[in-house]
Amino acid sequence: MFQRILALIRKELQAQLRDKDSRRLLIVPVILQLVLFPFAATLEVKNATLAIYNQDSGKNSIELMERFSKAKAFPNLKILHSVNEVSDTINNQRALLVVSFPSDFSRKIVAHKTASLQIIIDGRRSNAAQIAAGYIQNIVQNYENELPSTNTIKSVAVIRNWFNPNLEYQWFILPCLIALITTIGCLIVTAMSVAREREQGTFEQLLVSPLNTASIMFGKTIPALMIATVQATIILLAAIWIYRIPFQGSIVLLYFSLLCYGVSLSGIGLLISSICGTQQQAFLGVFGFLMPAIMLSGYVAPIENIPEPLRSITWFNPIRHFIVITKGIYLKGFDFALVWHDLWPLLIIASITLSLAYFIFKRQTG
Amino acid sequence: MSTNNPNDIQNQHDFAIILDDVVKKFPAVDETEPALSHISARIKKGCITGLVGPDGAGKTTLIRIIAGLLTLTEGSVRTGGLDPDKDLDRLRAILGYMPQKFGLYEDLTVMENLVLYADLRNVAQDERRKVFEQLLDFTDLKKFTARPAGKLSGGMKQKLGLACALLGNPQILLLDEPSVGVDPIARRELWKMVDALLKKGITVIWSTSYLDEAELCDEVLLMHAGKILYSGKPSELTARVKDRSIQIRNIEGNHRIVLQHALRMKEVMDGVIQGKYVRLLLREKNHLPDLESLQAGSKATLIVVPPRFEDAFIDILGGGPGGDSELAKVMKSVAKSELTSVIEAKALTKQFGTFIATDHISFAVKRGTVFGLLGPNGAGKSTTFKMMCGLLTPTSGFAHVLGIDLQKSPSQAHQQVGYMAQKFSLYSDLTVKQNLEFFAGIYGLHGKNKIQKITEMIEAFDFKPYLHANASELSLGFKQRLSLACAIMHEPPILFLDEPTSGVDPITRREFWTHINGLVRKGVTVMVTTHFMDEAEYCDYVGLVYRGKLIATGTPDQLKELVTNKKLPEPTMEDAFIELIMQHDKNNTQNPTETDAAMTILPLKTPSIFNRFVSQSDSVRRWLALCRKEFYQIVRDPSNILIAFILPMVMLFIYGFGINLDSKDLRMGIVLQDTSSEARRFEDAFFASPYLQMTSMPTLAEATKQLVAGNIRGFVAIQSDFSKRLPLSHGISPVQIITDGAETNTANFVTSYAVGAQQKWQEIRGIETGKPLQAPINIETRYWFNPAAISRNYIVPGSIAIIMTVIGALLTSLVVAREWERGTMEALLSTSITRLEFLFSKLMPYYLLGIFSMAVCWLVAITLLGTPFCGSLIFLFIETSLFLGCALGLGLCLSTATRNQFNAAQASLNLAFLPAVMLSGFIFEINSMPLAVQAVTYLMPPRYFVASLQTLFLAGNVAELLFKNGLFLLVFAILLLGLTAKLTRRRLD
Repeated sequence: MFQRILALIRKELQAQLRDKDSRRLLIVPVILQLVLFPFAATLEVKNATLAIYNQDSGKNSIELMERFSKAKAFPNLKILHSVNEVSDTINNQRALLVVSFPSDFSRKIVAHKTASLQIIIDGRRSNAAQIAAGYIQNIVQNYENELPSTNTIKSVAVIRNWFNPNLEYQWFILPCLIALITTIGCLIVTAMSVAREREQGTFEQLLVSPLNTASIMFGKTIPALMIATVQATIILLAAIWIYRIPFQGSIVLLYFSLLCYGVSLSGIGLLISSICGTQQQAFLGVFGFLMPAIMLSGYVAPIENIPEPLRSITWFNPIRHFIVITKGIYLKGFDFALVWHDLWPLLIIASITLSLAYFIFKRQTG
Repeated sequence: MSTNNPNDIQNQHDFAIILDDVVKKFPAVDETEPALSHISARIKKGCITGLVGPDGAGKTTLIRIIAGLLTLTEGSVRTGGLDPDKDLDRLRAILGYMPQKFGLYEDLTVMENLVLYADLRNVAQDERRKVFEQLLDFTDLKKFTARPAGKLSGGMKQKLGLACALLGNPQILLLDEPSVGVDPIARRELWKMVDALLKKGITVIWSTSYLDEAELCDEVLLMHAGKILYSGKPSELTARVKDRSIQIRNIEGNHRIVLQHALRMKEVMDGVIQGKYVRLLLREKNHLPDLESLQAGSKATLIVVPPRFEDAFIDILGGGPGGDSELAKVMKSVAKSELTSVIEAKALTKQFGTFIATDHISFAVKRGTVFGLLGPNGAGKSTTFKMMCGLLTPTSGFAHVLGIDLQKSPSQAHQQVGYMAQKFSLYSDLTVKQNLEFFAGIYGLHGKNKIQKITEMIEAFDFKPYLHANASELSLGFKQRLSLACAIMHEPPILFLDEPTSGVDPITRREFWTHINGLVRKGVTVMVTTHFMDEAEYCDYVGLVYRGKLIATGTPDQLKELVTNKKLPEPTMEDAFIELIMQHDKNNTQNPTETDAAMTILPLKTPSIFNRFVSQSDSVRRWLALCRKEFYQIVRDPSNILIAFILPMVMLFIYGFGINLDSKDLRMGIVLQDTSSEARRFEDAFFASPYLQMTSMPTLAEATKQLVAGNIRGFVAIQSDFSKRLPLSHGISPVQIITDGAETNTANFVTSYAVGAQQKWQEIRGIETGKPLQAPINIETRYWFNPAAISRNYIVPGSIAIIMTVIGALLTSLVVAREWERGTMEALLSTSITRLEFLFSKLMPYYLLGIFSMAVCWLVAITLLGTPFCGSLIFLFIETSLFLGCALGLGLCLSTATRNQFNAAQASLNLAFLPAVMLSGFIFEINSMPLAVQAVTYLMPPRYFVASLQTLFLAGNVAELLFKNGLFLLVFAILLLGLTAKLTRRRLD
């Protein structure tokens, strides 16, 4: 039996790697996402335009404006001259936010009175604007501390960001990418390849061979795992050598988890393929699974922000668990005990989906 | 060639089609061998002309050239006196064309297909009732008008295809291989129908690789390798081999061996088995083979029989393949078995719901014989075959192979069986060698044994030059060899063949049967299903399946004898087949013919005002017909429903509820190592924060553990000397705030909330100590348009843009490609639709679907998700329409360019969906991207649409922004739709 499964695995790899389209399918998303995601998928704010409406002519507002312009978040300052211009700028999204100094700003500071400063945020882009407003507050606070005012109390706390000292968004993205890209590769190989065999009529050939259902499924799973491993390795190498993100954990543990993850994904892929007759249906099925699964994986928004009962449903989403594992191992140096917390759900998912797929395949042939 | 007669030129009006020196080259294929080289022919009006030749001879290319679907490389064509290059519209009006796959929409009913083609071929509304009634009568499809075309049997599909091609009274009817995969009864009916058409004066061209059909034609064009070998009456060609066809009768012993001996003789050109006889074609008249060396026994006689067209065909191609199978030489003999029958079916019954597909079918096959399973389409033949292979579980009864039950131990049984599926099911993207290796592998061959077996196969079948070619690139004949090689590499004692030579020319078929005969003599037992009656003659034993029952069994000759009477003194196998089925029908008079519940012939009752409007313009009517078809297809495919209706709702809810970027209730730990009241009050400030959910932790180690595990997103450590160090304004800070940088975005929030809590504490402390804190600068933050800064409010409008992209681009990327793949494009192109009609028929239904979906999304957003909507609906409608123009344009453009659903779907995923999520500014801020990426976002229509939607929902009618974005969308829509129009062709090349 071992020889037969080996033949099946070899064929599967040959089919995936010989055909130009399927080869492209395995490589293009990896490259595209590797280049695009770390740069495009960022929740940081950089290069934003800050508009300033300064009615004050004193030195304090000018000093602050200079400090704003030095921040890497706001290389472009846009000076506004009227209230109309303020609303026009925000309405037409010419700037992310507007800082408005009243005419008595400097005077009040000099007089040791509380001066006020207004930040107007475009609520249509509130996440970015909120973060940007945070930067402004920081700059203003630092400035306050330098003012010869008496009543301020220095901050008692020092802030440290563990695992990612400078809160670089790329450090967050790349470990997630390991999970995302292997997901796509694994699902495509398992779900689409069975559908393609059905369309070409070769699936019947397999069924009349001495291979039983379990070994056919096995023969589809192993190549998917191999391809996923290669894709994950590419991302991992790029993360370490190109993006220079220090790897903290155990490589062996990462690959072991990847294996478990791959099995659970193959289960889902085979389940999709067991109920789809054509490649089109399989494609749409994979898409229909991937869309919500990625959205609810903790990659776009944290899991803890998802309200119940949606949060409980995400327990069945293997991507969610694997993202915790990749980030944990990569950035936090997870040991096995910590990995296990999210590993056993993967194994449960794998056993459910694989046995379901097995029974459906079995029923179709019988 | 008979065309160079000077008299012909004067009688050009007698010819329906004139081909002069036609050359067709396909750029992709090897330059040296054109698909058609210098073809000249004249096809007479009102006749049926057979286009005959082996697979790959160029028959389909020639038919497409006549139909004006392909352009010529050289030469000229006149179809009905019209030049396809100049008069394409007029040509299409006089043409009826049935492509190989019939050109039917499988998800449309019989009636809907007819109405569609009636509209496309400009059949007047008032004539329809009569025309449809005639055609349905003619095709005998009246009972099935409400059945989807995909659920019809092969024969019925073919009749419907013909009916659709006949709409609009064509003068010239082109039929491309109409009889492949169709049973003899249906073929006979089709011929009757065509005969009736000929009487009306229609010119018919019928392409086929079945040579018995060629005999029925008035004229034939015999093609081979892109050239015409013969043109004229079939009887004239047959006359060439007169008296050269003989039959050996009264053979004693094995007739397969006799055939093999005969084919070795130099006098014999070709030979086949006909039941118990052997039929030979001699190289020369009266040069008979020596009976004794044939070893046919003492009583054997030679009788001259009338020649068939097939004999002449073989003659003109220079003879058939030899009689020796290289394959049989390398195969080991099958061990003798004690079992009397090696394949056995007992009371095999399969029920699908209430429908009984097979009803107590029993048969047994002896070792070393060929058993043929015959029957009309849909009779239960394939079901029986599948149960014998173990692909289907019988409802009752059992199937045994070598005494092994296929249900109980399928793997063990399958090891004994070689299986060759219909349509040569090999891995087309693997090479010949890889296919061989794979099949050797799954049948458990390995090591030396495997290498040796593969080498043997390569030698026996001459695979050497093709070893590294993809299986898909092989000719049909080689594909068939490869299927056979893969099926028998493990030397199975039993071989299952499912319609092994369907659509194959006689020479390839002979070669195939030479191998099978060789194997049978080694003791292999063969079970075969076939539509092809010549193939049935090769069987030792035949079972005729009809309506789920085995209605007759016996040797081919026994079946022929069953129907022999005065009218049919010497029935052919086909006669026997048809006669036996008719007798069965007669004996079962209650005749449970299947009918559909709905018997309405004309369900179309469009309102009369609508009719009046529509009948004004053929163009509008054709366009509406196509739109209606598209609409039916959308509604009937469940995967479309999933993508168009269910997924958007799921996405909207996930985006609306699941994706929440406002981090509230962030879990934080706090470690208090100082028990002073000062420290406790500091702690209280954190517990009081509405944004933080604090948990006290006993030790730093515990907090660290929880942070690493991801249970908290940060913690506050208050050191034991907090109260002591507090008065000092310098030195090391007594409090540490640690965040989980692995959750980068959350860490930002944790930081700012923690700082906020600390400030609060400072304020309170300031008041208490009598030194109220007076900040020099008070920052006042105001959120315009979204005062509470709820992320759902801007994510929902953005996600609607993504939903529109999915509907617009992902769904439409499949629709044109699907028409190409299913072969319906060819049928559409042969009607008089124009490029714009086609394009707008694809646009309109999906545009409406998009608008409908937008309406639903808008409603869900403002009601269930509570998103404000400040703009006006008119602007929403305009911006949506413009964006749909872009998305549909992109989808159709990809679909038209790739002509392949799989590639189109991939491309739209990467070029439409991914940019809509990543580069539209919907979640990720465009400003923060590197300049190169930012530049790319300007080329992405979603960018403009997302901004417009967010503005319309949250800010209102900001005219300048909406106008600017609308303008960009308009430009992209025009560009993409224009590109699609440019890519859309009215021809196939």
